[in-house]
Amino acid sequence: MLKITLHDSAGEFRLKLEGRLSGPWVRELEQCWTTAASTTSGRRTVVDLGEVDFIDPQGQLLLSNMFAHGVEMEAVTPLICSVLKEACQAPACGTVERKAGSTP
Amino acid sequence: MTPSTAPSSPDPTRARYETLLEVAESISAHRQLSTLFSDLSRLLKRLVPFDFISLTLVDHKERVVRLHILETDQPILGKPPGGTPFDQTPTIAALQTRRPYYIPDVAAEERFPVIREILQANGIQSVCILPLFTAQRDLGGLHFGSLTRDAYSAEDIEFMGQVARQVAVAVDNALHSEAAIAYEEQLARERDRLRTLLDVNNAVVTCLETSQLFGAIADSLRGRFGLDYASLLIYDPEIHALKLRMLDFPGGTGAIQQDAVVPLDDSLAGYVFRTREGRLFSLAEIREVSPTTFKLFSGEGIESLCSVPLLLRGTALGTLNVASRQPDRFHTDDLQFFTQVAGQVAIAIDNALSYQRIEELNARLAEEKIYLEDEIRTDNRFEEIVGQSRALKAILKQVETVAPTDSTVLIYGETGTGKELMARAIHDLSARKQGTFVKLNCAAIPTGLLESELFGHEKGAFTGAIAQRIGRFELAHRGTIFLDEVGEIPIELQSKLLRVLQEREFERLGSSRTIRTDARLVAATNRDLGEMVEAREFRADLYYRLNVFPITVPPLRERTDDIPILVQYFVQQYARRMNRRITSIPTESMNALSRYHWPGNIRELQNFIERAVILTNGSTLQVPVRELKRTVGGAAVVTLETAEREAIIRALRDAAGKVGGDQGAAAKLGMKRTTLQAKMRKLGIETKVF
Repeated sequence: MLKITLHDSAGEFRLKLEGRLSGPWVRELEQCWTTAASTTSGRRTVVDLGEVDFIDPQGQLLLSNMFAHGVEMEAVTPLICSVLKEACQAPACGTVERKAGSTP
Repeated sequence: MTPSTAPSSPDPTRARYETLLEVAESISAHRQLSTLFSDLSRLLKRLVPFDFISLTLVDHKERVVRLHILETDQPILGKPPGGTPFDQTPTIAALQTRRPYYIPDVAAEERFPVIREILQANGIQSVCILPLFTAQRDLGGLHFGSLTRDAYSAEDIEFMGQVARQVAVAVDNALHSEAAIAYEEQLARERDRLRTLLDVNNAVVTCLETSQLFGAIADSLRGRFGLDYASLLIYDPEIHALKLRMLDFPGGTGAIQQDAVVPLDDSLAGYVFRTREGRLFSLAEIREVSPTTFKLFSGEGIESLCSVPLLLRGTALGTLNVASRQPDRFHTDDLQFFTQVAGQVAIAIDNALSYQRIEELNARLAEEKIYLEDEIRTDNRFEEIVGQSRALKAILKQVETVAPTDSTVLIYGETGTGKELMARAIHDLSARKQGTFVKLNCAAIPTGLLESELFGHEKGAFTGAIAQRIGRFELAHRGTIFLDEVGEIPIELQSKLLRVLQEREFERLGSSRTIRTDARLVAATNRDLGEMVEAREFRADLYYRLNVFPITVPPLRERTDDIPILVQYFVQQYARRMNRRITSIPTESMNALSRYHWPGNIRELQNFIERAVILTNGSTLQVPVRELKRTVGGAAVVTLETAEREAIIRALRDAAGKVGGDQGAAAKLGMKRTTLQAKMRKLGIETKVF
């Protein structure tokens, strides 16, 4: 199960994820991101993975895609940091960012 | 009125035969009695002097004679409403004798005073009544009246008798034709109703979900019988009221809303539901039964209503209501029809509700299966409690005492002491052992998901809730729920947990439906809940509710007598699993194992023995005693808490007080930021010190 909480502020659009990013929830996150993308122009989009326990290969692929579109990732636990590193080819822990980005 | 006179004719007999022929032609040319009579009036006036001609028909059922058609220049006065009784009319006298009944002077008529008065009121002086009958039945009478006394001769009466015999055939035919048309109309009406009933049937039998079913019923009734309003109210036993589950009211103002709750005691539908009898209501009758419903419906322009209960095997499930803006729109046959529709709808609703219950049970069984499979995979190694020490026996005695009761149990104990095993033992020794033992480690679930794990959620309750989920409390219905690390439940969720313990009811996230659960709670923690209450980290009321029967599981260092038994048990278990043959354990090694204080308790001992079995080559267990000595030396002076505190402080110093981020203390310690912050709060460590 995955819970997605949306924090929509003036400076950034944050997707806080809790639980497991796997199976049908990958599509759910993608849908959520795609829907939000139309309103996030000019603002940061951040995915907070601090409370995520597990990411399956499809989830990794989606995060990689989101990262390629300028979405910033935040992770804490070594496991998720490692998954992110692999998915996004970025620094292992903390905030993983990409400078110039566009929404899908 | 001017008295009429019979026209003169050169040959009256010939003229009468010619007229009779014309009467016969007229009878064959007219199907309707009214037009036939107009024509007859015109034809007969040439030969017979009369001022009015009328047809009366006999009603054998009501035993009255009714005036059916009247041809006259003036409106008739004093016509009796509802017909004239048999014994007061000359028509019956004529029919009984099969002869004309002639009244030459109306004023002298004494046998039929009622008729005399009517005739006198209209100035009629003489009247001749010809019986109309066929071989099969008596039909009525043909009346000729005149404003002059004794207007008819014997020849006239004879001639009128001939006319009457022909008219009798025409009347008989017309009555048969009218009856046939009426039957045809009735059959057409019944055919339309049966077709509608079939449509309702076809629509409802294919729908298994209630929402689809209600839509199908609305579609079937819409546009039929001039209905302006149709609704279905279903009884909800939880709120002891009716709920408006289907509403088809396209012309409504919005005052009547879907899903509205309708009380049983102050509503028209509630009245029908209680009495279990369908009824037709006018607006005035609605006001008598329920002023509330009257106000609502009169505001919508409703004038007549038909409400029938949905009955199934003598039980009322709700009501079907149809209404119209026309007054007196519904009749008894409509009531019968809608009662039949309600019977079909009741079966369909019962099926749909049963299907819904089966779906819920299926979902629950599926969840239970997944959960139990998970249990089998992960927990089959804990099969029994091993040990014979006095400390353990004392605990087991407490377990035996509390297990058969339904009391909440709170198990205290350090990590690895077997708290879950004790909870399982409580479940297995209780009357609930046939039910499910559901466990949840409150510290292992992200805080935001804990509520959903415990209480479940409806589809769409939050982003990511892509399907309905049954919570652990629902899963543990009639079983036991074991909440490990109960001290980690966030304070905002504690009130909901308290409600479940007190009221045994809760709602899934995103649902307003209250669910009742009969789950016994066994909770465990390695934290001091009393201290947490003082620090306002744990609700006092929940603490007292949990602390009904506290059991403290002793650490392994306090039951060293059990260490040799546990060692032998684990050696046998792992040797069997790894296909090894280990027959002896050196005394020196066993002594070292017994001397060690085992901060990680039985879990640590178990893992240590697993490692020792892996390292063993022969039949004697090779224990890496050096590891124990090294740890023993360090552990003699430092407690686990102190070691934890020191590790955290060291990591914070290295990270310059930063907790999160890739260079933060949490990352250095390999734990979640939130976990580290929780531990810091517990140990009273503040970041600003660094």
